[in-house]
Amino acid sequence: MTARSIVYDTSTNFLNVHEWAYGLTEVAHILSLAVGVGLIAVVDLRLLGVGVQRVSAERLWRATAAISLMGLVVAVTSGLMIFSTDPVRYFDHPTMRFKLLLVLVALAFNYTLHSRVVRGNHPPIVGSSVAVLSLLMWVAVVFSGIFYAFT
Amino acid sequence: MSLASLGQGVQDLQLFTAVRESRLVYPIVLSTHLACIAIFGGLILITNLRLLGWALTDIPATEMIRSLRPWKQLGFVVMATCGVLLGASKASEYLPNPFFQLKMGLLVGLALHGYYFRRTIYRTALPIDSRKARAAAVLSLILWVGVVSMGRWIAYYDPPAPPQQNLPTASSVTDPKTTCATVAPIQVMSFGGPSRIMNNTAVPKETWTRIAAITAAAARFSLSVDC
Repeated sequence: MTARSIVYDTSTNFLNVHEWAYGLTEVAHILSLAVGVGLIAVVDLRLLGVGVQRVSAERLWRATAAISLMGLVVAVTSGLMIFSTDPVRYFDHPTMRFKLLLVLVALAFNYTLHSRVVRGNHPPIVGSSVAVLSLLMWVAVVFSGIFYAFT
Repeated sequence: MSLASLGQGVQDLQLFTAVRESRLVYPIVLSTHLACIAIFGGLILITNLRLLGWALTDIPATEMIRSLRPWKQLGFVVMATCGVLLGASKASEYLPNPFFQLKMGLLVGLALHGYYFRRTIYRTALPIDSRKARAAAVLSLILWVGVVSMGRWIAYYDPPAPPQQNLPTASSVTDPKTTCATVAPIQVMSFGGPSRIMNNTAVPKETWTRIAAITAAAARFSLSVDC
């Protein structure tokens, strides 16, 4: 028995049943993404030497990490809820697979290398590289989410 | 003149026709619009968290606002340019759409918000009154959440079906004159034809000057409004 033959009737999914549930979940997904990624971007800009320059990147990271994490948790949860409305179609789509993989990589990067560089005392080139990589990855996540609908 | 026909006039302009009919420009512009929400939304959020007194209270709010202002302006210019391209290229659908109208209303609200708090919060060198700061932050957050939500829900509105007139009767139907030969290329274009950034209707040179004009207008506007 393959994974695809598991009996799951998507028409019973809460998001497919209630008229406003899907739309509200999508809005929650976008807003929480803005909270999670947006606050990471504030730290990244500081790593690049711009934005809030009065305090260190580490201080900014400490002030925003908890709220950013909350945003990312809601974004992933709401994303999985949307995924559950039609899992086979989403999973079989190459752009969506790319996005899922990229989200995993970006999250792992954010909570390992990124947070370590933010806290440590590294030369500016290391900080800038990590910041550019982080921004590029999150922008790519947004792009792949939109391009899923167009490819 | 109805909103829909006004919108038809706007979206028939060459630039907006090109954006709408292109295979890649439309999703690229849409993704950029969304990416701006993600990246620059953080700048608005951190400003509001500071105004609420929930984060980084050791930095003066005025300094925080000042140091983030150019980046917010950059974000606004990119986001607004993309937004105008997206909205205008489907203007005949969007102008009568209640979610789009609400979004535009909330954006006007944000502009008024910026003007109202300009002297006391956004452009003052003096320490900020914390009650006023909280009011400004709460309003800003409500308005921005509304703008993003309504933006997403534009896609959820089904316009009422137009009354059907002059339906063909059995006797009036004649054999189609067009053959598959003319239909096939259109299908190839829309389902996996050659990937072109702009399709044949685009005139690149003029297109870029017009996009630049929209960006310039957004830049001028962003210099006078705070959020």
